[in-house]
Amino acid sequence: MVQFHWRIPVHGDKGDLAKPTYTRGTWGPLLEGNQTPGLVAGRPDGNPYHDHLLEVAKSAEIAGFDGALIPSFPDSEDPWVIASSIARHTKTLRFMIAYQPMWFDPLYAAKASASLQRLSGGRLLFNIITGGGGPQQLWWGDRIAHDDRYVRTTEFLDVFKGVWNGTPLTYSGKFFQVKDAVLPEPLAGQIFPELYFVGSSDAALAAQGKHADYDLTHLEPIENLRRKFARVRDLASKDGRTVKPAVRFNILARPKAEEAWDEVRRAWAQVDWDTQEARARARGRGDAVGSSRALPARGQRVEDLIVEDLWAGFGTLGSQGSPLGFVGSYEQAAERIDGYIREGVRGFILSSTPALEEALRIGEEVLPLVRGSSPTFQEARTG
Amino acid sequence: MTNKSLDPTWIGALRENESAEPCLLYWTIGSDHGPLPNAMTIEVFWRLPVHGDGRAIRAEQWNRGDYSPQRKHPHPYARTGVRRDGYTYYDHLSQIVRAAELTGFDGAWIPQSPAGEEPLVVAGALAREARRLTFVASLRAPLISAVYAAKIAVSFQRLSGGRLAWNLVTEDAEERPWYGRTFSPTEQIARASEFLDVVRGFWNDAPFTYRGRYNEVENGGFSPPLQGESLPRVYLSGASPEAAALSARQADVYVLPLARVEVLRAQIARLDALSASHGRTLRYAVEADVVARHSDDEAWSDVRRRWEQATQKSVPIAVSVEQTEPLRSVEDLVAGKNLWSGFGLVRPGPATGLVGGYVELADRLAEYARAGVATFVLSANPHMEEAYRIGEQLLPRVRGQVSESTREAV
Repeated sequence: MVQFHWRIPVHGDKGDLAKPTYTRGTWGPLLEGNQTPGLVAGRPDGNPYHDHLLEVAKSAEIAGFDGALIPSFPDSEDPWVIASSIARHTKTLRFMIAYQPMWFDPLYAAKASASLQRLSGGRLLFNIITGGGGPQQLWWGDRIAHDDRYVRTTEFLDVFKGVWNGTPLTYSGKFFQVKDAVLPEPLAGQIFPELYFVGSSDAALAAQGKHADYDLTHLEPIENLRRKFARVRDLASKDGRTVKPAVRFNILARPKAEEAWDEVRRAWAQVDWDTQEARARARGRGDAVGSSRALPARGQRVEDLIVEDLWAGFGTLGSQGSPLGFVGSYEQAAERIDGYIREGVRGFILSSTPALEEALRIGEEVLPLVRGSSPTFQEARTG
Repeated sequence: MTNKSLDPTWIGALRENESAEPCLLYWTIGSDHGPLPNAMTIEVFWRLPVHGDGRAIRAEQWNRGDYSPQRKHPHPYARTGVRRDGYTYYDHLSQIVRAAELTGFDGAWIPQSPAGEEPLVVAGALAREARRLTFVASLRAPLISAVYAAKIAVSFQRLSGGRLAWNLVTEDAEERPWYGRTFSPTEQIARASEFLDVVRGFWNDAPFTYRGRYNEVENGGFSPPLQGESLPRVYLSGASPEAAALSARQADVYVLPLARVEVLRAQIARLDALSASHGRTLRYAVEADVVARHSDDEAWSDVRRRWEQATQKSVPIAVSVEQTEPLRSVEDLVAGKNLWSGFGLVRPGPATGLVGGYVELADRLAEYARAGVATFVLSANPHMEEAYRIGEQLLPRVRGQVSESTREAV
């Protein structure tokens, strides 16, 4: 079974990849023609950005995605709020909340999660983020050092999982201590949410072996992915568990490959490099291992950013998600996904810009061409 | 002077004014043409039953939802399996919220109950199903990061047009809390105080740096895309001197336990003095279960019938009233005119509520309003039908009374 999730654009979206700023949401300038929430042609219309996000979620559901990733950033909408709303306004779509273990007390997190499961019929997943460190971590009010944060993640999930079925739990960890904690009936015993883990360091992989269902990796050249998958396999098997690889990437697909590349070139010509460089300087650096990679620079051409059959400029174009992504025809996209499935990937989180229109395009044009690793894949997907 | 609350054209005019202003709305009592100087404004919330509902007054006998383990025959409302028939308890909560909105309540009060649905999830799920109701989510400061609570709140304000409020629960007498950690009342107050400091700083003063006992933030605060939302109104409660001091400093509204009006008047005077010493003015709230019928007699006989049902020995119940309290009659539990303190014995929540005829209860609520109570958190079983009853029968009378008394005062 392979899962396909669509990424919800929680801090802005744009109707045209070539626009230098976001045109949907409050993250871009207030301009005529921008779908700025609450304003149409300068007048209040009562529609918050959430209404657009719900449109994206419903499109992903209708187009055949299994779920939606709801990421979390300091300047984004909050995933719990969006998830509660999506749960109420969709029927089958699963929703993946990006979550840092320091946000809720573990029992409170268990209660809120169980309540979401009751609301949605068990459609919750988590993208467990241990935190990238640096200035952003202090923004969240978190000062714990890198490796200790993974200890905290493990402890958090020990408690979260330990109380889930209603058994009283006494636990004495470095970060969490509880005595006779119990998730009351009828909250106890809901479907346990699947856990996607993010992290590349040894501490991260050691931590996820105990609890993760999926190891989520930003797309990389295939040799890097193979090395990562092997490390995940080795570390997880120490705990006698299987952690399935998952990848996340931007995807730009058109009927013909040349059309897709034309779209990239058109957008690349519009990049505002002054703003890009100012933003890179302001961003600062954390202590995360996975996301410390070089950014594209002024003067580089589209062709300079091709890595194997992938393209590394999506971040620069303001297409949220992973910087490295796929550009090509529908058939090529499906083949690429099939290739990853053959490498063992069992979870995909795809993103593109604009999020709404591309969710429908990828769902309608690419996913039906994906054959998976076996001829029975299509039955498994649709059955 | 006629009672304007019964005049349909007046109500109609009020409704039109409401629809013209989609954000948080308070009834302006005392004028057809906008607020008078010092006009009294009241807000009335409907408390959502997040851990089950039914006609009985006793929690173990509720048949809506799957919260009563002793229930033998699952009622349709008890279905919670989306996979089975697509129906969940949230559909019931949604109906209650719609009923409260249609019958003129100002908001939904969502209590924090260990076995109940989580208020933040309930509010997030139902916010788009009501156009103007405020959602008051109850939470405990020690169980959530202050920064993250602010983050959730700002996103909720953007979703709902500023309709989130917080009831920060600070006192807890539980010996063994379900969440397995013990926070002394003093620590809870200290944490709640820091929580509100951090939230306010994060909300209003970016870049915000803070070093407290429980919180540490560096260069926090919302970036421009998230700025400009209103901070959730803060409801606090608690009888201890520490809780009162915290409320005087940090609360927008202080929630008092329901009692005779003289008692409330004295408490309000004390809190007024305390908050004035911080240069602040508090609003006051009371929370009450309500049994309202056409007459006092009818209401009391309804309570007697339901009390009998709640205390009969043949009912299989988890913890029987008989074991915890010597069996008392309805009359033994009368706590004042139209006040009855039996509610707390048969369901979680405040002990004392109101019982009486519509006219009499309107008198009581108007007395409270004149004593300084501006917020009423009402509740009654079963919650959907009773939202209609109270919204249609009681609230217009209260409005009329408060309106007239204000005019006399002016």
